[in-house]
Amino acid sequence: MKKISTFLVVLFCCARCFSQTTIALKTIPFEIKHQNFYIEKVLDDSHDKYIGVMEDNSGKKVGILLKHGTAETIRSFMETALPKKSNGIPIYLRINNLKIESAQTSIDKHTARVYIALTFYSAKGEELYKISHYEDQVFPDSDVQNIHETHEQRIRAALEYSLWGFINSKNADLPNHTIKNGNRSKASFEPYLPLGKWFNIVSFKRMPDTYNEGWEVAYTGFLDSEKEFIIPFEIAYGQSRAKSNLVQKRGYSSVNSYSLGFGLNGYAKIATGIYLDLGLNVPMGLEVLRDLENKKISNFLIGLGAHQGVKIIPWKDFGIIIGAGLFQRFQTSKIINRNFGFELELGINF
Amino acid sequence: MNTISKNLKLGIATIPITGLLNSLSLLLFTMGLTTHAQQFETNRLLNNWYLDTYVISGKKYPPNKKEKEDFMLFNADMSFISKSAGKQENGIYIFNKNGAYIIMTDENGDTLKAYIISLTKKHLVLTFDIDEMSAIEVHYNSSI
Repeated sequence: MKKISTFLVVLFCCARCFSQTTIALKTIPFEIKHQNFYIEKVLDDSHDKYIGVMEDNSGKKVGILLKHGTAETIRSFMETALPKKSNGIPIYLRINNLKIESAQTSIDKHTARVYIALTFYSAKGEELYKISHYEDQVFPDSDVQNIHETHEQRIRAALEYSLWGFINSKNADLPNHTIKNGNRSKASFEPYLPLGKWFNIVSFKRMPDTYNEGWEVAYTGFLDSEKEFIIPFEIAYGQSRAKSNLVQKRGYSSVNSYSLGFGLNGYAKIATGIYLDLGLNVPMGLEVLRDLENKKISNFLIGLGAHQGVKIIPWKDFGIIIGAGLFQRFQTSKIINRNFGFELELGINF
Repeated sequence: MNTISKNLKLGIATIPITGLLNSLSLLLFTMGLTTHAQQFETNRLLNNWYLDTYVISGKKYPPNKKEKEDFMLFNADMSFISKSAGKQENGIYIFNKNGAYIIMTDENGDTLKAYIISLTKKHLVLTFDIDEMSAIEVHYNSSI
């Protein structure tokens, strides 16, 4: 039995090892002319074997590799751009990191991205220039299938960008690229930050207050961010019913209000899965009243709403979300113009 | 370069409302960047490109009066001179052939990225990497 389980573990590990795909860079005949250097050697310092991960048609994760290995692929690219010359200065290139990724980044778009971090060295080992760069491309949802096949172009573009960065840097000291106005690009280096995850949330809110019983159904989509204030896309539909004693005091037998709210919410991530939820919106809709003689009266509703709360999303990929907060609303209602209350939210993210 | 992008935005603001609505609907509901054309020769870019027209959803809109003389001159030493809404700017540019884009950096260090949709001897079509303008093709004609 032990042997069988060992065999299964080994088999499973092997299967994982072979779940990979390769990307080959197209050989585009381009040359950066009038340079006095060439890339002698490329060393790969990146920690991960794979430059990215994608999902195949069955949803299984597949590691992505460059076809001839990262170092050899980049060396070949550099050789095309800067052919080796007998009187040229040899430059050594170290790949600090190379990552490709894609993710949904807005309601109807995906972003595909290459991150590259390179260091240029002299033959003596002196560090000449260090650069990191994100090469982004935005795809509409209808064009997502083209992301994988275009990764190679973004890798080439990122390599060319880095090369131009080096050429324009002072350390490259290339006489043929003296810029008349003295403005050269500065070396920039920022560590790799993965693309945030896009959350789709459908939620139901109860919003009781002193005068009303209300509820709201909302779709919220947002791109997760560790540092930046998150501005989600939200569309909501709500209904509230005034409590009968107040309605009668105002001279009506019943009232229903229907509103469609467009606005902006902002989330500040305070811990993993916990967000401070701040919102400001403009609800617009219709208030339908019936007077004591059962005559129907319609009233246009417009107002300004705000809320402050906490949203908890315990599971990243799929799960339940819960939220709680306070809300304030000012609107052109014939029953109550100012509304303050609390809200409880329950929903799912997917 | 901020001035360049601001001026471009000012220019676009004069496009009739229908055009603007078209562009807004594009921005909201359709695509971001166009798939970039493949391989461009540097020499073709080295020219003086005069602003000809804006194209939004296939419809052409002429530049406004201030933009009539707008141009972009790309030199072989990687410097450029541009005139945008009458204001001239100088700087350096990078022509990323693999990415099919130009990055222009002005004297203040501000940058503007423009994707090349097409480049022939006589015509240059760009989209600028500015949110409000990503669906607008800017067409230039060469001076030669």
